[in-house]
Amino acid sequence: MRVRRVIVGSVVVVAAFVGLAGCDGEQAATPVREAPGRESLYVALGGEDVFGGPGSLVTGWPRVLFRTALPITATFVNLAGPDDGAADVLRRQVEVARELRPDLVTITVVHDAERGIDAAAVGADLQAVVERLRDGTKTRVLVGTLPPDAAAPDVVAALNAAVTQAANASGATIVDLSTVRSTDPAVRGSEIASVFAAAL
Amino acid sequence: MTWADSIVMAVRSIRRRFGRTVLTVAAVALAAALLTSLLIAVGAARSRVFDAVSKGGPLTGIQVSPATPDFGQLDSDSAKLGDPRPIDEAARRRITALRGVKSVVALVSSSVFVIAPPPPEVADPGREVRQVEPFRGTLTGVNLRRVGELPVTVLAGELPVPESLHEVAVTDAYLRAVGLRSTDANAVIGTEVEFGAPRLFARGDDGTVRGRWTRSTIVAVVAAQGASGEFIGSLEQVQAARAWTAASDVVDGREARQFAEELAVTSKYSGLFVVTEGFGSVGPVRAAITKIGYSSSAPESLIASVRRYSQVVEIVLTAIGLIALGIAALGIANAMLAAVRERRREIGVLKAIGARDRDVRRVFLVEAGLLGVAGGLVGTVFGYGLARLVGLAVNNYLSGQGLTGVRIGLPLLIFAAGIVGSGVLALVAGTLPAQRAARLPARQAMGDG
Repeated sequence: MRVRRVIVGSVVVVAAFVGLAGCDGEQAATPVREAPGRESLYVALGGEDVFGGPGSLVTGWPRVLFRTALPITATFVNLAGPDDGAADVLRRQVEVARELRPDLVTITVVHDAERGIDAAAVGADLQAVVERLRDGTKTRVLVGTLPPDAAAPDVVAALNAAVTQAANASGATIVDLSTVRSTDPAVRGSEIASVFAAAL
Repeated sequence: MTWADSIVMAVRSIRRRFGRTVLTVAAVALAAALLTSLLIAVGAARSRVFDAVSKGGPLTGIQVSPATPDFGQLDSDSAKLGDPRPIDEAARRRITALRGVKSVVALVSSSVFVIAPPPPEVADPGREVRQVEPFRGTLTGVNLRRVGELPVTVLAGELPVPESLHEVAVTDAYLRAVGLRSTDANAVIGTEVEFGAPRLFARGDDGTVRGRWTRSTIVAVVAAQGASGEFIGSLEQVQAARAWTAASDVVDGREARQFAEELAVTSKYSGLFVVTEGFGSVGPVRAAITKIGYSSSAPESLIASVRRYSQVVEIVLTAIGLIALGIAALGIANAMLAAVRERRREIGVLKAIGARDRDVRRVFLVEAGLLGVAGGLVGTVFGYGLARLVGLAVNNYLSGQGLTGVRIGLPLLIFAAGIVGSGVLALVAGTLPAQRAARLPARQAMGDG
């Protein structure tokens, strides 16, 4: 009896010792693993508001849209030019965008309002851009209207009418930016991105 | 007398003298524990040192750089870089075909713009946390299925899944770039970085750069040799970035041309990691690679020195453990001699009823063997537990220093040797007492009793 008690006791002590030694004190970090998803391409076209100024690489609205509203499997290319309006988008950007075969394209042409370009010409160029992008593809195109502070109210109204008509005629989705109010670039980027995100 | 009879008698004797048995077994167990824990510690320390020397890669690895070898290349473990020389597919094939080469892992890298998130909160609240400005970094791509052949040590997290396009491992260089220390490795796991592969587009007389931006989750922090730069990802991830950059337009503007030259992908591979068939092949293969015209590095001199020193340490520590076992064997011999003295009457009775000398010898040898095996078993398990506890303390210290820990395992050889060795030693120690018991004349044994 005594022998059995001693043997059982010894086994328990050794097992507890080995078990204690086997416990790792530090918890390993658990990385977030890649979720399976289809690769997609998002291309941003437009002028200065899309291109972004110095320091806006991180906070520009297309990037915020890419970062917050699109899945991690999305790729983003910004083809906007700093001084580009609808005519420049048609001349310089649209063919490059077509070659990339994007799944999603966003377009805004705020620069035309600053330059006083004729609304009908802007509408025609924009319609041509969207038609070119959608020609034989399944590309989804979102066209943003002008924010209220882009120019004088009558200019904004005329351009927005032309932009809306062009978008409707070419099968693009119109994104109403009339609610955008902020002037702080960082906040404005998030504000515009959230309106586009709601339209996705 | 059968073996079963001998075992029964030995067990009965052990039970009858329980206190002495426990002390004898404890002595053997302590000696076996000492030897086991020393051998495990030596093995773990040796593998940790070799890991550090080879940066977690195979000891027989050679890093090939895209440059010609400079004077004195073969006399140095480090790469002596001459003029840049691209590593193309033909060069990779020639090196792969060299005698003594087991495998070749290609490295591909791409220069990318990086947008990193603000540093996550770290343990030290007093530390200044600053926003991270976008910076230019290097993304190195490898076949992640063969990353085990590379000098890469995981400090935190797990390596990206093979062919992943949106997972990366980061190096210490990234932690420095975002203002963190290597001890903060766990803090960046699960955060997201954005990579922009640059491409030059013609725009009028000059050009404009456009990025192809992707997002990746940081899943590991690694110490990597050979993979220069901040990020390690899949080959597919880097090849997509390189393809975008390689499609750059040809432009006339001076500034744009300069940028294009910077971006130009001159070497198909940014490096090769050659694994040789054995440590003896490292020198000849390096000589052959130098002859082909590439600079290389391998810690061969360092590893040879470390090997020599570790063998000396191993011999010294094993000797200490063996001395302890020898003392334990003397304890067994002493206990057995005492048993022979106490059991003279029993030996006499055995002989009187017909037991032969060898039967008596067998009883005592079985008893000694049982004591040895029991002590060896308990001691080996105890020694392993001791080594694990020491390993925990060491790993706590190493992780505090931002270093990878040691792995404590119980090799089957040590486990078996601990038990069998103790048993054999006990048999040797019990031979003299058993012999003395066997030669004891029956009449003298009865009379003295």
